[in-house]
Amino acid sequence: MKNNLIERYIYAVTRHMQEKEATEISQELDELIASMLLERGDHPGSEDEKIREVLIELGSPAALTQKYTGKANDSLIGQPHYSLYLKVLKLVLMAVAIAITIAILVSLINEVPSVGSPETSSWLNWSLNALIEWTSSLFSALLGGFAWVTIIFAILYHQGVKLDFDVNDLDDLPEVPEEKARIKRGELIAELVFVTLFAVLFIILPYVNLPIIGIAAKPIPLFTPEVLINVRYLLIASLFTTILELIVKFVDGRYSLRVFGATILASLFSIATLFTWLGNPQALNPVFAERFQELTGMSIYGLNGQPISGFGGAWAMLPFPFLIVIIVVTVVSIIEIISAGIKAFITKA
Amino acid sequence: MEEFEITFENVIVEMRRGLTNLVVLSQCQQPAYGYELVKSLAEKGFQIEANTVYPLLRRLEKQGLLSSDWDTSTDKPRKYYQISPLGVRFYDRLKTHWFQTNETVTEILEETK
Repeated sequence: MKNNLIERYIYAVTRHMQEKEATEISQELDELIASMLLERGDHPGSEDEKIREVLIELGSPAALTQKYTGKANDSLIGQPHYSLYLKVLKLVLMAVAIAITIAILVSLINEVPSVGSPETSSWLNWSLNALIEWTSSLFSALLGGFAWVTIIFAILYHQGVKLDFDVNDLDDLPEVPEEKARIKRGELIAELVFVTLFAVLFIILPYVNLPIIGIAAKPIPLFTPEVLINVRYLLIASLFTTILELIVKFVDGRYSLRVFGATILASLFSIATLFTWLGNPQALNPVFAERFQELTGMSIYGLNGQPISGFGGAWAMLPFPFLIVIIVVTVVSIIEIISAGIKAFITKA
Repeated sequence: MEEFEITFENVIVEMRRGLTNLVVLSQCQQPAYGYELVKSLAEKGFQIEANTVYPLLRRLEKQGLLSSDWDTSTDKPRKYYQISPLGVRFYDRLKTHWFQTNETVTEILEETK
């Protein structure tokens, strides 16, 4: 019968290996230990002492396992991916925390006790509820963010996906970006927070979207939820193209041709979304429009109820602020595209 | 002095890492089992521990440089390793490289004597 200590030692070495490998290595170790014991045949001491001597010479089971299974990439995420992983993780967690905090506040505004409520207990309940909601949502969102970033980087690392800074040819080393062409970290964080917030309010919580308080008995959403739901595919496409733009900006760190391309794509989707969504006369919650008229004595549609000259069809009677938003955002997007193009081409020249 | 010794040991380990591959391949021209290699190399003055040789033999086999066979004819089954055709090519190249490196390093060290 095999000595129990040897069996236990071999088991400790092989227990976490794959079955086939474990069987083979067990047989090998068995052979090795037998050979080493044979060698010590005429040494003084009991059989048990000799076994202990041999096993001590072989070293700790964990160290031996490490020698058998040790690989260059035996970590979940190793270098050079790890440095980038940490950077991305920090950015994502920060953005998630800010966006979730704002989104929770916005969604809870719906449950705010009526303004001027004398009952302290209802305010206390609301605050307590808000705190619980915020803590639990923040916890699960951070956990989700952490998991996704980690999983993606683990896959990239183990698939050996080369990152931007892995270059084989010296000429392929990226240019040191000029100050003007450099994309600031703060800019990326602001955009990331905005995108997350946009996704939460308009895609995940269309029935809440932007709650307006103080003009009705209960907070009312500024935008008509049904219209938001109708354009949700455009909203999602716009979200993804913007995330893509952010990723390219983050990886390149400067206004490159790729950033230029991604900016064009994201801007086109944003403009298309804006035209389809806010260009719909029903996009503004009619309840809000009604209350607005009652409170100010003015119509929010067109120019105080009159068609806006220079615009045809439904556009002439769009809510005036919407028209301004559409025009401003379109102009800003075009300027952004041009500026990204200039920065990309100037630094390339 | 402690740190001096540790640093020295670390450098020795680094130096021997590649050489161990070369030496083990050299001893597998004929079928050999792990412990036999440990003993024969020790007799020749190249001390290498069994817990290094066994994992190394497996790794070289996985890389296609060695092939193996279990000999079950005795009551103590043993796994014999022998160099493969790919291993022969690898070993020849490694050996040439070692001779060249050895010569160059020796020359450099002789200069500064």
